[in-house]
Amino acid sequence: MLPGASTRRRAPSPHRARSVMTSTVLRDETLRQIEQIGRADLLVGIPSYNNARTIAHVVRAVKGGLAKYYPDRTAVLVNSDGGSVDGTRDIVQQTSLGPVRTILVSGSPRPVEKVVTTYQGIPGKGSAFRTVFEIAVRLDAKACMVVDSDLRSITPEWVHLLLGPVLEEGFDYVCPLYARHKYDGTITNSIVYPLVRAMYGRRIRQPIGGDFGFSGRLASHYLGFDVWDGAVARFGIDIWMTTTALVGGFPVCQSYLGAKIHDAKDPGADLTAMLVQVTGALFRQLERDAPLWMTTTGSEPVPGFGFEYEVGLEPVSVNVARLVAQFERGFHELGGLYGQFLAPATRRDLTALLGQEAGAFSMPADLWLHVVYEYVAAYASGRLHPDHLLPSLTPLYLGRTASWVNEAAGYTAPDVESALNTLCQRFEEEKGYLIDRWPGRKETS
Amino acid sequence: MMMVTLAAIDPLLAPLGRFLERAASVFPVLLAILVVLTAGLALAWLLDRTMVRLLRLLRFDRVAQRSQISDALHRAGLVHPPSTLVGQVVRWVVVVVTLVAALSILSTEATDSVVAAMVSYLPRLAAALLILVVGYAVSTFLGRSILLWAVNTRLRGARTLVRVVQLLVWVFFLALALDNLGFGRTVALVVLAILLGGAVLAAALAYGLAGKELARESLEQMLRDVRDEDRDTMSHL
Repeated sequence: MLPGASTRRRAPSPHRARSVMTSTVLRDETLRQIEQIGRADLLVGIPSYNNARTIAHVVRAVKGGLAKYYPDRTAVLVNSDGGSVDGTRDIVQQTSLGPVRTILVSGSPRPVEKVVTTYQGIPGKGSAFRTVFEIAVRLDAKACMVVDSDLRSITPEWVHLLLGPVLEEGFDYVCPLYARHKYDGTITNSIVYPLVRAMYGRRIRQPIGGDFGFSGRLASHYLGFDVWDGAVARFGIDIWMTTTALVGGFPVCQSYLGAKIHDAKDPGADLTAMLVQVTGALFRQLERDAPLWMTTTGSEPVPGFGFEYEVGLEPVSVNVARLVAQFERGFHELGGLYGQFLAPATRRDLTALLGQEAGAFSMPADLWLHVVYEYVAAYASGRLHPDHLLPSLTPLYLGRTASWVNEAAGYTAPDVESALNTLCQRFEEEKGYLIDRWPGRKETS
Repeated sequence: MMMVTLAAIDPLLAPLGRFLERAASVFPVLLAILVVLTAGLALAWLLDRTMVRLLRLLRFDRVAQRSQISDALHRAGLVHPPSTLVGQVVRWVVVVVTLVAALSILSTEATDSVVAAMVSYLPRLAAALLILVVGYAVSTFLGRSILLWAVNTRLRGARTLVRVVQLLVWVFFLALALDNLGFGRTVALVVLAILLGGAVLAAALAYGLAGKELARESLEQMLRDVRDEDRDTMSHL
């Protein structure tokens, strides 16, 4: 038995019983292929878009993991592609594991079926996942996982760490836990982790990690929602999956996967677009789940799997002066907009930050949590269009990021976790600040 | 000598007398118009204030907020509370009625024809007003979107760009409204064409000729910014 399993706390609630197979997002040829395959124990989904450089490594790692840890199980690898023009799909079709002896596998494991398809719907990771969910349900898969196609650090062990808790320990959702550089994952560290912890009461350290394990019944639960035309269809899918699993009462855990190293930065990945999609999906969930989180107090850890070890991480360079300049310019230019939903005291405190030297720039934790809570309340009130509200967070987020880079300059990994823990505790303690501002409870001061 | 002088100014006194006579007969009418206008405008102001207070007493703004009317107005950039907007509508209705009443003092026939013209013109006027309201909402929404985009992409002169775009949107909707009212069509269209064409030409000339150095510096700065950003290897997600 993997450690931590005995500490899981909730029994799964009956999920939304809704027929999900009356309509399909799959192409005809994919449906025919699935019919031929029949059923599968395991399913691994890989969303992709022009990842010819890296996807072969991901496919090999997945096949290696399936061969090593689940040689007797029937498994299907699904490549849900966004219409790549660089031969990504061909590479997936052609990539083989090679001699299994190199990963110390004896005998001949079952061959892994491959389903390579182009998903339909809005271009984005969420639409790719929707296709994976439907295939998982049609194949009646017991355990599934999804991994990014640009990973350079994935190993066969990831397969065990993401599928194992579902297959062997009865969990329905497995979040990843990576060793990351202290300057990486700033949207997670400054917004998503504190909010998920304070609102849903579970300490899921990386709720939008990108690589997840989940059960077939949770895939079926996901398909019962009609959310595939907005932020959830894109980067918002990760936070939506996590919060939906939490609210649905599905047992959740996290697995330590080591370092997460991506391919070189995607030049098309626009910060504001990412921030808007992630916060849009999260704020929408918080609006939906208000009755639940208003009665939740404190937080508790989730069971963890995997052997934690220190990792040598690639250095990260950040231009703090540029971040501070963007904060100051944005705050100045968007002052009129902020006046419509930020509290006067918050605006006054933000104004007081202007003119600080970049190297000493500091945005206190309490000020930041007030900003975040006021954004959540403003989103729920609907007084400002989300297309205007959410992008206006970018300059403030960059200010907080600059502050964090300055603060964490001399931190070790435990120092980072300690500082984030303190921030999250403040989010938990100050939850009343958000409740006071929630639409219908009290006028915004 | 005296007789000669009176005889000389008599032709002047006669018209003056007729003028004073007519003025004396018109004066009560003018006074009545002044009284009606003053009373009407005061009544309009009073009704506006009363209506706003009454609606606030009845918590109309909160009801409007619950039914999302307030939100819709807010999103459209109309920042005044709904009670104020209702008060202003009442005020302007009373002002128009006052003007018609004042006109009726002068001539009943004129009033009838004005009222008839107004009634037949009302649908067009309402449509034109609606076009202007939509124009205001569109220009506000577009202005905000452009401002956010410009700020987040670190574009210089964000506010100027917003003002120019809003002006063009306004002129466009004004042209539509005037076209709907049936006058000033050509003027509005010509103004729009001049503004658009002129803006493009001026920008091209200023940037390409007069601002050659500025253009080079701006492009270099933009490239420098992009290169700086590329050097940041931080992953936000």
